[in-house]
Amino acid sequence: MSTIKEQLIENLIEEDKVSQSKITIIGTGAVGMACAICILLKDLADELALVDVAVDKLKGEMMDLQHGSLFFNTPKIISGKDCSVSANSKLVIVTAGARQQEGESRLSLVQRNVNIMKSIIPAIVHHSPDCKMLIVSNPVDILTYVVWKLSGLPATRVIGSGCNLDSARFRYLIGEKLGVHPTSCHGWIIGEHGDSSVPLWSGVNVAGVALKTLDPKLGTDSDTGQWKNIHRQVVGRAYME
Amino acid sequence: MSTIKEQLIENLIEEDKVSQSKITIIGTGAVGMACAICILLKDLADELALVDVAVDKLKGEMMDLQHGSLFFNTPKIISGKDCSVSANSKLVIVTAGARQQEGESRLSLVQRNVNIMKSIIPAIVHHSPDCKMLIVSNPVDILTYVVWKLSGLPATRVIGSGCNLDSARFRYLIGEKLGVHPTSCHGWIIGEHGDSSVPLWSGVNVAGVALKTLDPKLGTDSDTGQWKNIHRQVVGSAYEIIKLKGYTSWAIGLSVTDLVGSILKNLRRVHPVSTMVKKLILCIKYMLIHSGWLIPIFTYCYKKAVTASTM
Repeated sequence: MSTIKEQLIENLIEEDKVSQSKITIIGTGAVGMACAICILLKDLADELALVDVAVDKLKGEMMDLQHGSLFFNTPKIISGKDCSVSANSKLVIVTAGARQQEGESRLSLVQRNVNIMKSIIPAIVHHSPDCKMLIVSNPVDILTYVVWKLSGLPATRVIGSGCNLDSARFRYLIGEKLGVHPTSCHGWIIGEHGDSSVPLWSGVNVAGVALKTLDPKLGTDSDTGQWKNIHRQVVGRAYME
Repeated sequence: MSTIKEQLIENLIEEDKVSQSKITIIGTGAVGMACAICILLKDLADELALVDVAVDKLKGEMMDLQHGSLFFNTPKIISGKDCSVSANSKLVIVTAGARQQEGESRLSLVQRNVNIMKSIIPAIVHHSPDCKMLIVSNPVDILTYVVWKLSGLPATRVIGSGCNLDSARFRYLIGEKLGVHPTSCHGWIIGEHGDSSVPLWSGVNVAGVALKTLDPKLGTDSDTGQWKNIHRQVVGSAYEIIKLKGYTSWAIGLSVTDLVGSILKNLRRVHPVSTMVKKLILCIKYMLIHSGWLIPIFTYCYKKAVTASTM
């Protein structure tokens, strides 16, 4: 007696189940899950794999996302403690690791997170030898180096999320100051993601008008508009939150 | 000496700062923030207000969202302990309240959450007398009734998120069983959002083919395909996820955002939501439009649901 599925559907061809744009997220804490929901809502993956050591949390998060499947277009969401679920990923996002406590600097996390990377990265690369890796865990610049060394991948395929967020915060704050949407305010922060980041004041512009031509003191201590404060806020924000 | 802003920009007209589609979310816990991020990523609001009693968490959540402003299109995000930040909202989403502990049923939360509603709702309505209210806090059907009473708003403007999530879970599980995307699997769960919800097996279909015509025993105890189990899983979902991760957030956030889109954009889609049906608050299918729910669809379903709920 055939099942409903068999009565309903007749497969005319062999199904190709290989995903084309699989993303794996390592770490299902607040950061990993925020990445997950944003990736799902932006339709970026056709398969999403979650990896974490906390197996109950991991399963709960996977199920919670799966139950929202009606509302997005990522048909396959899987999870596992084992990195084998990450096989065939185009991109692996590493958010796992200890995070800053209140007042703690990112650098003190180094040793703890290096150990975590040693336990994860070789397996990831084994299962997805062609993947790109995006490192988010802090201190991100140091860990990007560590992951690159551990992975054996070419440096072009190991990327630290770095100052992308700093620059986004910078542009948001510039936008607030000028009453202009952040996408129309251009400004770049580079260098170390964190306390020693470098704001490139010469490049800060709106509609191609460099703010430094309007006020040559922009970003210096003698700046009456207090623009240097904006960079201070970018650096200080993570601690404040 | 003029500021950079004054050198850069010359206002030619008076700026109209009144928002056109403001949403307020009451409660910045896991559910409230899941709703917030989904609403932001779906471009549904031009202003978002967050309200909570925990002032540090509230401010931190507001700032965390603001810092992502480069990546979405909601230019104004504000927050406050006071409901005054909610003024002029088109839609107010209520997620505040105690949540189920492991193994706890939704009904035991009633008294605690009624008290919370008493402290919030009159102020909300005072600040946004024309708003629609979408209730998410559990037990949702009961609290929808309570909020309706406290608000003095017409029943058409107080909507409980109800069985929208149950139906989404139902469709996901049907999809998994058949190997078909949930959007192509149609199935409705109505009645009480929770242990006494009612799956409408006669309506379950894929591409217009009613599964019940393929197997008349569908959903009964003698069903060999174990379809009744799917409904059992839907009822048990929340408990299972709470046991694993402590709470649920993403699915309800997505489900609420689905409803928000229908309401704000006047889509005239049909959703299973909770509102007044002949002096009862329960979940049946309503067409959601801009000004609130419109008409009940398929009254025979409602009769079934009322019978089931009063059993």
